[in-house]
Amino acid sequence: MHFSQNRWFRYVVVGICSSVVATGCIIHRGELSGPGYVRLEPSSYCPGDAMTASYDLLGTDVCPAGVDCAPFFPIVAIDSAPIAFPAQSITNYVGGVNFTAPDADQFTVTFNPDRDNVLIPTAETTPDGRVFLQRSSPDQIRSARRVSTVNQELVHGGMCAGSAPVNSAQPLPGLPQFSPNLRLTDLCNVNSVAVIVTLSGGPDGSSFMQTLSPGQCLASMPGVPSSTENARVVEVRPAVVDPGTRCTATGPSMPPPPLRTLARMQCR
Amino acid sequence: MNRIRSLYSIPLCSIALALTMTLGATFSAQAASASDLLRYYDKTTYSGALDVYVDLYAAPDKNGKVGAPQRYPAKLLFERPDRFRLVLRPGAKNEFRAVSEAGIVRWLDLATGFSGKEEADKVTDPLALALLGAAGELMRFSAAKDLPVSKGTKLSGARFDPKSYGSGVESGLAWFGSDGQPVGFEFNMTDRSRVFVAVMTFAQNVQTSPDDFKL
Repeated sequence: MHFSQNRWFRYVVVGICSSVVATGCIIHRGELSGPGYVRLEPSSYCPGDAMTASYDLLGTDVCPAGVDCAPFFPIVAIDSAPIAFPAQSITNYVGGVNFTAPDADQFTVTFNPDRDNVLIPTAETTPDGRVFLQRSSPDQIRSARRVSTVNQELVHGGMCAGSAPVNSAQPLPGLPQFSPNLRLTDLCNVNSVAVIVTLSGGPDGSSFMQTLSPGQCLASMPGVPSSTENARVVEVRPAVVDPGTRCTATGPSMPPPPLRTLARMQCR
Repeated sequence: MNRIRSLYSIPLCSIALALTMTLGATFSAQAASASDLLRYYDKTTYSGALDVYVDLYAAPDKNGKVGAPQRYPAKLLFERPDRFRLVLRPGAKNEFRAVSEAGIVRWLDLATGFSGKEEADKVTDPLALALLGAAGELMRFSAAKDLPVSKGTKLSGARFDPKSYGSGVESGLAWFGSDGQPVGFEFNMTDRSRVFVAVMTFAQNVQTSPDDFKL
């Protein structure tokens, strides 16, 4: 048994440990299987989207005041295939390219630093000299694909807010993974129980509430305002509280089961 | 000659931050937004005890469908900057315990009898370690924004996008009840899997003893 490969442990710990406390001095080792130091957003794009390909080797650190970091900057070549933007070469710890989504069905962006590791000066010095951070900077490739429609199941986790059972609201697909130019075309109840959904978060500030039977979708119902296509958040609660749910302010509790909705979205 | 080191030794600085944080700050939870609440707990939490349910969801399939989660009831005791005791499935035959102190995680799996230890940064996401690290600096590491929920809802939510280098967390949501208590958190991982944490009880700034962080 090799403990370090137990991804579930890492995720449980990140879930719990991240829950209440916040952040501080960070720790990084090259072997951590994080997302790397690059981003390509959105990775599912609509025609004409504003996109960004960026890298960040600093994270939450900064170049200390009074220290010239420029001699330690990497040179990062950023290229795309098929060509979505002219090739770039950026000399810095942080950089990026803004461009318009290409007509291609998909494309890749390659980030190619001129070194395997970068050094970042810290404010700390010792009798031996300044202390540096070392971060690995392997080549990275990210791909993005064009979408016209998106079907995404939203999972609304169950919680106890004091003695009240509640299910989490969920943001509709958007940045950083999905295009910000998606509109909601339908929302379906994929649970085995009736639910009450509320759509909100649109620019007009309105909200819309509707009861949906199992399998029922909003698009099949009369009287749904067109403003719902601009909604950004889906709230949901069961029409009848699940009998296994037990939320008490003081005693042992069992949160309600998760509820699911299926969002259908389309490029504007 | 410059000495190069990993960031792992830096948590010393977080001790100082933890000691200087403001405990019990005056605060009106009812009037606060979710992102305000997130900042509040960040600044005022030195230690804590939680009973939670953790649901792990695999990445959606190609049709966007999400499978059933794996659920773990769990207890967590933590003390900043780097100590925690995590018990999964507490009381069950397959209880799993992990304790962390001074950068070392020790673990015991009652189901198999296996135990071991590992450096914390090899088994723990950088975000989790960072979150334990120090108080009052949430916004330096993670932008938080209130989720626009409808009026009259019993929950308020804040979305945050961690900036911890090397973290597998892409984004997260924090949920608070109308009394300002944290009731749930979720984390969207970069591999599209998802962690949902339902907080059943939360005690802030609890007394701990060194034995709490032994297996």
